[in-house]
Amino acid sequence: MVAGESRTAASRDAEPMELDCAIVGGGMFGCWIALHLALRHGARVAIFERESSLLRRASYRNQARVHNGYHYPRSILTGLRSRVNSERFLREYGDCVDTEFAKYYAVAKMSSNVTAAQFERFCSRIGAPLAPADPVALSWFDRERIERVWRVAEWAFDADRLAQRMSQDLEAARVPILFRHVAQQVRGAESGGGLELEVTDLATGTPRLVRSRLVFNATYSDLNGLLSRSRVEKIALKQEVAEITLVETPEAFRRVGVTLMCGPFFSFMPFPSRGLHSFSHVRYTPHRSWYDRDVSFDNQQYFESLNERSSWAAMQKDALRYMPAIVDFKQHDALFELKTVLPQSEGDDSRPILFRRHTTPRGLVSVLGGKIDNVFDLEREIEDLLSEGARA
Amino acid sequence: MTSASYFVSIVVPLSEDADILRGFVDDLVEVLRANWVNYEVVLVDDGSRDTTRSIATELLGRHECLRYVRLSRRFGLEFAILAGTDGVIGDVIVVLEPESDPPAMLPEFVATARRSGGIAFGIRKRQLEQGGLYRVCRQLFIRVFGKLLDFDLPIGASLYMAFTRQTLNAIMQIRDRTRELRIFGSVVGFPREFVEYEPVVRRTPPKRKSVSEGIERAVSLVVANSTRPLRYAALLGVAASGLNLLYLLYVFLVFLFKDHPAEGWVTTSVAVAGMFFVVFLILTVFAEYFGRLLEESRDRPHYFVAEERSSSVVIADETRRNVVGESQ
Repeated sequence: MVAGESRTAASRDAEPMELDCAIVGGGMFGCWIALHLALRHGARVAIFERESSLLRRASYRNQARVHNGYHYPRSILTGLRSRVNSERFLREYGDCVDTEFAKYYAVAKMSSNVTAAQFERFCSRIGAPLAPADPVALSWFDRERIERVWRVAEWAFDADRLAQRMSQDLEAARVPILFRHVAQQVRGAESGGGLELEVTDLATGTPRLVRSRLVFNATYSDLNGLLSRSRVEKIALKQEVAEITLVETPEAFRRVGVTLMCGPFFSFMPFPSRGLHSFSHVRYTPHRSWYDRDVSFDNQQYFESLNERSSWAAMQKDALRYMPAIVDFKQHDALFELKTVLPQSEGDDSRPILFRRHTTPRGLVSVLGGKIDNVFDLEREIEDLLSEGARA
Repeated sequence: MTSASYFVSIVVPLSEDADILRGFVDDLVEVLRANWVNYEVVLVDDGSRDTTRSIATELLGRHECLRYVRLSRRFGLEFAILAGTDGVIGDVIVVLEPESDPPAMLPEFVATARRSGGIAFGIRKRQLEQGGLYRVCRQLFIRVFGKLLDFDLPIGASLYMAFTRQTLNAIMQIRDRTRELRIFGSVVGFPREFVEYEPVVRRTPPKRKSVSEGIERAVSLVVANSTRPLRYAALLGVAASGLNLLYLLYVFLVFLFKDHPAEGWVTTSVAVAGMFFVVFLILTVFAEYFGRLLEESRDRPHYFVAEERSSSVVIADETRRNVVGESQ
């Protein structure tokens, strides 16, 4: 992005940069926090991003689903929060959301963690709309394996437009973004309190010092990378190499999304930024996984060294058993990304945001969210953080 | 030469197999890697109480395309196979038992199934070491009941079988509670071919099978797959009723023409005893069928899965990672 580059050029001086808040990571969470701090609190904020534009990694390479509660039938709290957040997301970022397609949810007869009756009860409890599917949609499924199908209200976001929107908003809020900058280390300042953040400009290799009261570590799969480089204890995180396959669909499915609940099943829906469909499978999307605490390698380096083979053949073969109608789906390409999950939410449907305020060094906060649409849940945490900071 | 044109699924039922699991899976994966690009292995643990689970976990970290499904308790070999075949996606599906079936034969099984478009039945050239009585009963069952029930299987037919997707789909529609894959394979009527093989011995002595369990299973299989015994019992009942009718006629005639009818208690008691024998025989058969009806009408799931996990191979060592990067 041109605007970003010009800002990078302007900041290439040897003086330490003075900030109230330094945001490491220009994904959805980093951008939103930066905007929030700049607009609501008038803070001097800057974003440091490894890539050369915003929302390139996990914010882009995912299913692009705007959750509306349906996905979490085993956690009422997550379902409810998701409903509230999706409405707000639609209000605030509606121009980046594709709502013009028909989304269906189906429940499988076998190996499903929920029954159709349970799913209906759950949806009525969280107030998520649910209507019986039309006969055309029903004809796509193998009724021997599918218990029931509904038409639901769920949407997909356009990651490119969202990135553009964030970029505009940040520019309007005068938040500088330093692209191709990697945060090396963060430590408590030797004098005067606050933090010192060491960043490297990847283009020139020059290091640069940033002084800031707060540092937000919003680097998703690199959370522990920055922490361990800073000699801060790692957070218990699990990394998954995840594949979202991008497929071309026949005309009949161009404006259709389907999710089969709730077990080793699949989901596909429009992927607006590419004009294709994203296809994911609970069993075949994760290629390998590890716990950060068990390994000593750098997640990004390891991820880049991998040469993953797409699991599309397996995904389609499995899905065909439930939905013979998808036989003509053709793979276009595949998006691989490191997906970071909190080990505690593996066994259930709770998907909390991690908001960890480190004590040493004080002022460092690690943030990890699993879905871009629940970013609003951070509001309270940030208020609390700032009000405590003001008292101290 | 590896083939990428079709997908091969392997189903391996496990039961207290911790001692042989490592060696078996290593062999299996080697054969698979050498022959196919797209494959999956599903290890179905039929409620083992030994260290099968932890060894499987270790294997998931070492080999790709592996899946471990643990049933919540012991459901029996056929249900473990069902749980595996329910979840696989291959164009060709092979079932094999880790104790005696050699993975090296896989290419032949797969080729045979693909060529015939049906099922490849494995035939052991040599029977596994089992007790004499078990062997005799097994042969008797296959010879006598096989004829009686319209399925003919060679004596050495094992569970080492390969199916095309179409055949397996047909078999999977049979949701009977008494299951025997070999019989289903015959029942669905797709082309079948036999593959003879030399069983391997991974465990000495092999697991013993008990005669009483075998008999129980034989009865279940007959009842589940045929209504002929019921029909024979019904015929017997009709014949007995006919005899009873004749006997009544006889009594009537005696009553009409004889002066001292009180005599002849011997015939009376013989007849009564004979009738009761027949009646109870019929009742026994009925009881067996009613039991089965009750069993079927309960409509419970065939098995419960306690957990499912897939391979996650992470090469933690820097140097090993480079080697893998080059070989792929």
